[in-house]
Amino acid sequence: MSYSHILSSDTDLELEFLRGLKERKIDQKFMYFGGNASDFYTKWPHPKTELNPSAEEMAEVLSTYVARSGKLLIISVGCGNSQRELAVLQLLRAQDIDVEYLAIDSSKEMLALTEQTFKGTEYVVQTVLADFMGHRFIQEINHITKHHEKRAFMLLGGTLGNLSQTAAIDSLYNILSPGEHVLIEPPIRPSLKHEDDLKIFKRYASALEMIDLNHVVFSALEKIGIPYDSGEMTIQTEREVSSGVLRIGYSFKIIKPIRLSYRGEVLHLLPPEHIQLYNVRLFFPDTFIEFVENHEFTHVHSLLKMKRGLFTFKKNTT
Amino acid sequence: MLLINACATCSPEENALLKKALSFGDAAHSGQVRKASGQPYFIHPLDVAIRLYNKYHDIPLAIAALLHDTVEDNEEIEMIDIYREFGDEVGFLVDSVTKNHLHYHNSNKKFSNKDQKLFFGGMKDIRCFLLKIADRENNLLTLSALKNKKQIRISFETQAIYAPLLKILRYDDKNTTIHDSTGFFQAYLQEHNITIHDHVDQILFRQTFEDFNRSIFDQAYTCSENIVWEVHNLANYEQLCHSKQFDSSVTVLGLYATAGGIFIARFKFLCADIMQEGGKGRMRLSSFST
Repeated sequence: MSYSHILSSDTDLELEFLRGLKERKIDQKFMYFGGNASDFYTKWPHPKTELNPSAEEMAEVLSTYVARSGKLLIISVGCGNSQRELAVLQLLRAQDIDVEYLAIDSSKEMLALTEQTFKGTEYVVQTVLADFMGHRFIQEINHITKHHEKRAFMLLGGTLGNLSQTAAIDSLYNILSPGEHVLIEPPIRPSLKHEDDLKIFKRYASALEMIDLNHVVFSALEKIGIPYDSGEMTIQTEREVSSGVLRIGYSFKIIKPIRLSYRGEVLHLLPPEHIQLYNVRLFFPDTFIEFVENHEFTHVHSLLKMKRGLFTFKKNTT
Repeated sequence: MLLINACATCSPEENALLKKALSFGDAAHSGQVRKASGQPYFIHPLDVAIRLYNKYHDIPLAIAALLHDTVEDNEEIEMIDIYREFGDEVGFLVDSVTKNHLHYHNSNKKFSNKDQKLFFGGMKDIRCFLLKIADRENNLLTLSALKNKKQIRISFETQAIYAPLLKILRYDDKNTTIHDSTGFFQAYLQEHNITIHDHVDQILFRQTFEDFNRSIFDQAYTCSENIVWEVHNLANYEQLCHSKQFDSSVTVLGLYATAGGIFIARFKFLCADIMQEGGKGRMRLSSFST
């Protein structure tokens, strides 16, 4: 596969993986390496489509609040296979809205799926292999998109939930120009009550019994030779109060000591260390809106469905 | 006057002593008020006395209840005054629940803490326990008037010591007599091979809290509001969540589960309401910091 733009090299990624191993915190993009991207869509228990904002609803928000005139570039950060984005593009084009698409993901495998999605369609998709949180991202994206008069950003699915909230919103603020819009579609939590958090916890904890799913989450460690029976999967919750987030973290708990070599270095993984592998974040709408507004955004629109919400924000002009 | 009128079967001597105690207690607490209500403080010993008399019809116990806070709350009253004015039986009961001195009057034996003093007393006369339980029961009615930190501390102590004791003595059973409670307690001591007061607290703690001993209790008591509690049973934690006060009473630090079936809920108390619902599920002390 060739990319329109590559902002992360293989060496960068390997060093990042090594650093993550040492810190016992692996970025979840590594979960999709080596062919596992499609597993994310086939083996993951995704919510039924009717529980999420539909492509029609997203297109309506974009046409109402964003794409009023001129050519629009939709930039999807953490695009995955871009299937929903394609559906949105088609709906906007049907309304005679001139729209182009830029797909960004930190996973090569996901961008390969995006190319598959757009193969045979009338659309030309630009792909960017980049980490949204990387230090070069802002400058590079501005350079790549400098000829586009209007941009709108989309963070759909689990994208925002994969990231540290404070870092993600601060990065968003610095990426967007004043007046630009971002659509964020995070999983939502019904309340801030502990009883509801427990229900959510139980739902996600049931995934610990799904062997296939666990192997998808564990895959990054499996590829470097860590045996699955050297530990067990665990799940932990944490409340991130300022953003109204309940974070569900999946980790691998070491039960048997492991000595492994990676990129010329030896690491010792000892019980009962946990290696963090994957996060889901669920947002409480009111707190989340306030959190983003406090980062100099204006809340434009909300759409709340059973499992996910679609929140539209506009970066404040000075 | 409820107490006096209820005493139809009292002897003249008991009646006289009762009236003397009422007068003595009222004077000892003169000018003092209850924090929660602003009512005269003496309402509290009076309530405790009425509660105990209605339950056990024991005059010395009722008198001790009227006097139980006099030495602690009035600098001019010494324990010797109680013994002198009201006799050794009442004196001993009041002494057992008085924290000022960690020894009994006319004894050189010094106890390491107030609980040890109480346990010593209770092993000799079960009414020491009954008095303390009734006192704590009444104090819990106005717990919300205290600062959160103190609420949590008192509730924690209640959970650790008095709730298990209440259960052993079957205090809440309206048909239980003083003699019955004595028998239940003796049986309990025998069952757990306890012969001296020093070991009573350990078995009481473990009714509610895993991994507890006196040292942990003392540390936990001092910084109750900073303790991180753990519940290791999902069903028990679920029950706690159903409590109306749970969200306002607790900060949940996180939930944890493993594929192997371990579950841990970690939380801190913000105030004591939830603890007074009976502390559903055994709690394990996780860690605490000051």
